[in-house]
Amino acid sequence: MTDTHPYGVMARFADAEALLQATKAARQAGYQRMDAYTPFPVPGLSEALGFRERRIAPVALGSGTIGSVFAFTLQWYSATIDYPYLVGGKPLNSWPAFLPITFEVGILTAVLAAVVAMLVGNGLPRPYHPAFNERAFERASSDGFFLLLCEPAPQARAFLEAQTPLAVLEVTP
Amino acid sequence: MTDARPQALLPRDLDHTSVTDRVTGLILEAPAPRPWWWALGFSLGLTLMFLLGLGYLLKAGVGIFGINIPVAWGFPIVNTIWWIGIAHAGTLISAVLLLTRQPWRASINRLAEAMAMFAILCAGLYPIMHLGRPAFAYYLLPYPDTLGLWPQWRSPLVWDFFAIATYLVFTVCFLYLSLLPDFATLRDRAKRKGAQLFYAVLALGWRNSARHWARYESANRVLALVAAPIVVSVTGIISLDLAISIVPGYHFTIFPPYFVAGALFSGFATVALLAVTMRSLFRLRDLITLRHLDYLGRMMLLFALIVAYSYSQEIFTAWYSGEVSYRHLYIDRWTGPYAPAWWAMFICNVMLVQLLWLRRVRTSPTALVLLAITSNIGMWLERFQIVFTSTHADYMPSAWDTAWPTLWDWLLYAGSLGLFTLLLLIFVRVAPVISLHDMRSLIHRRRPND
Amino acid sequence: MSSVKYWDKSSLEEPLYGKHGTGYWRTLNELAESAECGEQPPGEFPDPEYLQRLPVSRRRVLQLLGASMALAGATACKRQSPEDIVPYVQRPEQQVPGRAEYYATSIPIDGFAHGVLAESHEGRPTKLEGNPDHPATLGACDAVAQAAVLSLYDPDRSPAVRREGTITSYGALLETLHQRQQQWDAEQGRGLCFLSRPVTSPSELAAMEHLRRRWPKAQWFMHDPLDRSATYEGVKQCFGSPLEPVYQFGRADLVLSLDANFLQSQPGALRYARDFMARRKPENSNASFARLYAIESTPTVTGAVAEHRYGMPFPQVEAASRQIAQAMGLAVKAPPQPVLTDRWLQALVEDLEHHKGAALVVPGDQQPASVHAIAHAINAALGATHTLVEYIPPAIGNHSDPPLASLAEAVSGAEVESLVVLGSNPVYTGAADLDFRHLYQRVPWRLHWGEYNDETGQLSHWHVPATHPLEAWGDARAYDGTASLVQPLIQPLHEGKTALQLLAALSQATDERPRELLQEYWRQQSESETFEHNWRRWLHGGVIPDSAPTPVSVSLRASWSRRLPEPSPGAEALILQLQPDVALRDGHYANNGWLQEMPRPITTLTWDNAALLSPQLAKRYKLKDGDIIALTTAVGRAEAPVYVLPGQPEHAVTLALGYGRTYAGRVGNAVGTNAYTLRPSNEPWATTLEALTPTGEHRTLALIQNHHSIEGRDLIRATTLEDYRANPDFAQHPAPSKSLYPEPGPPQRQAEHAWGMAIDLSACIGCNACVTACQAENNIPVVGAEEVARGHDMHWLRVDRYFSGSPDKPDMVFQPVPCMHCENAPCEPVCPVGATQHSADGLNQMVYQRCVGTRYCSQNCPYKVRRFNWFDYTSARARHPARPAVQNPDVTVRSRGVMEKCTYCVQRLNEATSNAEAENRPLADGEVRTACQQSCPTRAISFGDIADRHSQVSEWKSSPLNYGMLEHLNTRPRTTYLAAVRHPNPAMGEGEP
Repeated sequence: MTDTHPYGVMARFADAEALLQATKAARQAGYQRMDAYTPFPVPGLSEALGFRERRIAPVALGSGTIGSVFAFTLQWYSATIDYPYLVGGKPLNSWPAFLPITFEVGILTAVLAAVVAMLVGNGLPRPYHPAFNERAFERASSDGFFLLLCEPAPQARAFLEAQTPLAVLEVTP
Repeated sequence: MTDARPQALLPRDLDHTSVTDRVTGLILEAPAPRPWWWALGFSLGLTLMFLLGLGYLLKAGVGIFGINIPVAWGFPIVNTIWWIGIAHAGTLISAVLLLTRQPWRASINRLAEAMAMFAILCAGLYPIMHLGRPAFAYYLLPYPDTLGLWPQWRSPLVWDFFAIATYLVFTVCFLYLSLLPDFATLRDRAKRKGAQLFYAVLALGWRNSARHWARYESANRVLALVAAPIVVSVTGIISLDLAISIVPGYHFTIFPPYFVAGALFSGFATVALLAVTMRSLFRLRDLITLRHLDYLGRMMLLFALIVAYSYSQEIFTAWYSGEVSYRHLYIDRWTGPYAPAWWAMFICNVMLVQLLWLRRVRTSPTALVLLAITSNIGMWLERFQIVFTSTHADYMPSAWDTAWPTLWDWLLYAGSLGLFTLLLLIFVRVAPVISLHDMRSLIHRRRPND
Repeated sequence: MSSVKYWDKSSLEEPLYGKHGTGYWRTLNELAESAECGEQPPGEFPDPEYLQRLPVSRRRVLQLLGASMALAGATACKRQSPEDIVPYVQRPEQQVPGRAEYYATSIPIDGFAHGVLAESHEGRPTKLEGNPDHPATLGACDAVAQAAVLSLYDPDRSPAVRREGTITSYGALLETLHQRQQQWDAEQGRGLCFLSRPVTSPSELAAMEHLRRRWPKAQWFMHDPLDRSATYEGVKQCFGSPLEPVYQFGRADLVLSLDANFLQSQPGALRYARDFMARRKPENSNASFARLYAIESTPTVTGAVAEHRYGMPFPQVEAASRQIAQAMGLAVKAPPQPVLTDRWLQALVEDLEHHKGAALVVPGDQQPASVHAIAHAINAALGATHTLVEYIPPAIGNHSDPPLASLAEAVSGAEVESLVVLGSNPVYTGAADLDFRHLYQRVPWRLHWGEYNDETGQLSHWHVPATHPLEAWGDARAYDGTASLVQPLIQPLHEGKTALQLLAALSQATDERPRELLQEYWRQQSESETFEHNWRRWLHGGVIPDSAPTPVSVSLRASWSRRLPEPSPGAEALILQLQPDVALRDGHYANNGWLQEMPRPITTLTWDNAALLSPQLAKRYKLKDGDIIALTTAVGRAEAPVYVLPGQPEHAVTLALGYGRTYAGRVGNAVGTNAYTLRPSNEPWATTLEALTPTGEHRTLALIQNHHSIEGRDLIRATTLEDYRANPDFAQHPAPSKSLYPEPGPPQRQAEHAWGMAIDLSACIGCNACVTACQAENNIPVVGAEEVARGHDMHWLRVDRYFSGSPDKPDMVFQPVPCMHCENAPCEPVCPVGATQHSADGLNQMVYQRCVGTRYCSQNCPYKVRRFNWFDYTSARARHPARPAVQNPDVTVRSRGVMEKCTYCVQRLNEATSNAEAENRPLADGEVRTACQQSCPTRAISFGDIADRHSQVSEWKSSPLNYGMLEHLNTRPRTTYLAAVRHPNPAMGEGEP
């Protein structure tokens, strides 16, 4: 442990409810730069942190639409303008036959967009994060509930102590 | 299934810690059980057979299959449709049940998704093996060709290509998404450096942050939303391969819904099969309970009934059309050279499944496994008789002929089963067979009504 | 030890083979090349132990030298006459590379000339087409003649002169002959025997005559496995002298066939088919519509065409003919019991009487002399003699020579010292009871001349390869006696000798030039000053004008009927009927893949000769197609698979000759059953079957068509003439025309031409000539029996055959099915890569290079006319490798894994249209003809531009008979059919045969 200025203070709580309470309290206490860690999605927690996820769905929908339009245009252009030829007495622009691919490509782009948006939004992949420095933090992926305040150590620690945590620990950068 | 009380689906003493220990323990500590090794060896053998068959196929040509003019489509097509069908239930279980928040999905969706992915892999191989010139399969892609050529967009085979590709990509994303937090768990649990590194890379630095979870859930929801349309469209499009054509026995407008139902039927059967196997193989009786099996049984019954209805409609249409070749088709299916296939299918898909009305059958693992197997055989036979009997005697009596599968047909079919099992066996050793974070949410939600 | 190699014969032939003399010494060194010999002696005078170490001792070296000198002689074989080799330094006049040239020549089949035009690409004959100026073909061409071009390049043809099996030189033979001649001259040819095939060639006959005169004591025999002696015998009984009947079907309103398959397998069949079917056109209502009655022992295309067909075992045909003769008031003894039902007989005879002067009776070549005699007598009574049937001196000049049986006697009588076999294969084709295989080997000196080193060649002291007609100078007479020339399209590929060369060698032991020998003969025939001019004219036309003999005027001898044998009591026993194979004839063509794979008419069987059984008989023995049975006659036993054939007489089993060869070559060996082993010399065509015993074995027959009923589908539309006259539009069934898309199709479809085809079902006789024509034109691979049996046959065009009515007295109809080139082709929209698409002028095109082989197009083709390359069928590794030399350079050779199908011979369309463009003129109707259309003997196929109102095909398509198959699928086929019209005799009534 170097004696550099710590990244923040982290407290572990008994369960999701306790964590939720503490988070709300911290928010009321005016803390901005903080994060909560739970082994499963706890309803209402991200709101308690003051974060609402509104991006991914529209991004997926938008790119899905673009994908469809592109797919249809490609088919229409290649079949009627770029390289037209006679097939089974059908019109060059037999648009009903173009729909299945239009649909599939739309879905495909939507799916990829959603996943990519999620990763980018979460800043993944990210090999290093100060939180990982704490051995105890490993419990976050099984049964630990953590609240991290990225604030000057003393008063943050004081505040967390007040929330009856299981333990409080400093996170070095 | 709204009456599904979580208690029945979860042992009381289970909490976050123990479920994590149990499941991760299977991978990180517990040595592979003996049966697992046997299964691995067996499926490896089959897989090698598959590669052998593949090699000879590429060397000699598709003539090694028992196909001819008029029956120019054979096992590869049958198997593709069959595998895709198996894949479907996987997707549906994890998607539809996620949307409808069915608590009982938690302990089987992981299996279902894995199964879906490997089934699609098998399904995807066959169309290539089916080609006379597999090396030129890429002609189906829209790419900047030096001759300025494009795929012929009106062909259902091109639609197929896009459908299957989309489906594969989707399944990979969906499975990986649900695995991501569990990889993080494994990363944190792993003792050995190698394992740590391995799972760290797979976990992409997931931190279980509330923000992560928020984005994660909405991304998941988007995928779940498109899952249902994908399932329907993929099988629908594959059924169009047949329905678009003018061949009696292929050209039925009822095909898309009929194929979706059939797909889900065989899919749920396979899930049941795997669920029972896993729960006995890895002693997960308390996580995969009889209640789960009961629900799977109900699903199988439901779709079996739809399938039976489709058969009746097919027959009715054939008769009502008044077209001589359509009428002949059914007489031929019942009495012709391939009649045994039809009757066997009828017994498997229509008669035997009626046993599922009995709760006792639904909740008996053995019975369920047996029915799951017969149903999959039945569904395979259904595709067989659609593909073979329809063209062997269509419009021109002078061209009528029969085609019978050769050794190579069977070898490559059995081989794909081996490949599928092999991948699945490896999977259950490197990833949690049960979705940990879903289980945790389940446990968390159980708390209040204690 | 490499030095052993030098004396090993086979290893010597390898390097020798195909080498020119000059190249040889190098080859020997190459042979000698090996580790030991590679090391060089150290100095000029090597030390002794070095010489000891050498694997090749000094003595050995001397032996080697000797051997090499001896062998150097052998290289003379390949030397070609220098002045014939034209160096291609500058292009010869009117020789445009890539543009085919056509030469008139003729192909002798069973001795009779078929006039053909040979298509040649840069001096390489690739296809044979009928010669329009030739009386026997009139531009048509049957399968056997067309397949000759494949035999030309047959690698199994005999390449070199052999003495007791080992290659030697022609010179060596001449030497031997020279010695022999002195001995023969001394004894005027006593002990010398000649066995010849039937010969029509005037020059050859003259040469033979020369030999006869030179060695009067020599004996000449003629062996024709497809024995036609009864024909001459029958005529002789009636008119006193053996003559060849020539029929004028063009003048006949009514024809009765007495077991005569005159539409396919008698001399002149092509011409007969053309003449007769031309008299059966329903359209022109003023002309009468010829009617055909057929009494036959085995279902043939002739019987299938007949309005009234009566099947009966071979021996009963005589009884039937007696009945008819008697009913017509001729003085012949009645058969012990009648075979024809009174009603049938009465109706027939009334019809004959009613058509006096325009009615004709045709006896079958294989039927006994008595049937021929009766037939000719009836013809005389009907006033058909000289008008409908003419008699000419037999074209086969040596028909009066004694048959093989007499030679057998002579041999067993030890009268034969030396035997010369000219183009015949008696060891294989000899009747079983003669056991000629062993007799032959008792002859002290045996010389065999033939295209193949066949069963006879193997057992001969000397074998001399014969030239193929396409590399030979020669001549032959057609069925009507017209002489036509045979000119070579290419230098002999091997050391073949023409018949004239060999006869010359026999007489003066010299190697003459074939052309000079031929010219010499014809120079004598015509006045010398105009000869050169005539010769060129003859070569150009392929026919020698007015060379047909004038018909002999004959009169029926009063005593004719007294010469008839006593009517034999109709045998109740099972009869074994032998018949010439439609494709392999007597077995001579067994090594020809095209012919082996040509679907035999009626049975559609390929690569096999099944025993044809009636359904009743099969039922009695519980046999089905492919079950192996053992057949036993008085002279032998053989096993053959069963084919249950509706219409086959109940008590008769038919087996085709020409199979079960042992030295035919790679293609023909061990294909089918050798029927000669069952054949007695006294009853060549029908004999009692002593036992028919199922063996319990089974073999899948290589059938093209596996389902025989039309299942009540509306594919073939047919009616009677009366009904057609009453209701001409009977074939017009309204087809639904609703469509999601604007019909017809997009505007791009408008083009200068719109290709279309119409096929006249009234005219098609189902002979399958078109199938082979298509195969030859379009480089269609031969796939072999196993593949055909698996449904992997590749013919682009198939002739469907359906039975209707009762299994014992069925009606048969034929329907040629090429690609329909649908305007709304179902195959096109389903191809994922656009490998099959539509041309603006209406062709449904395959783009082989683009095809990935999904086979979706075939699945979606309701006519199932597409063929797939399941394996590699064309390369050198294939089971039946394609012969590059014979392939049409204008047609792509398809690789493994691609779909293919009929293209309407697009290569011909493009050539014709581009020619027209180059000459800046519109394309004339009939200028472009598809291969199938061209070869059709009865002109049943019409092809052309349907955009041109006045083209023949447009006229056909405007006929009320015109209909499209499976129209109701809205495929709009460009290939349509003219409904079949028959002209049955109402007096026959229903149910009767």
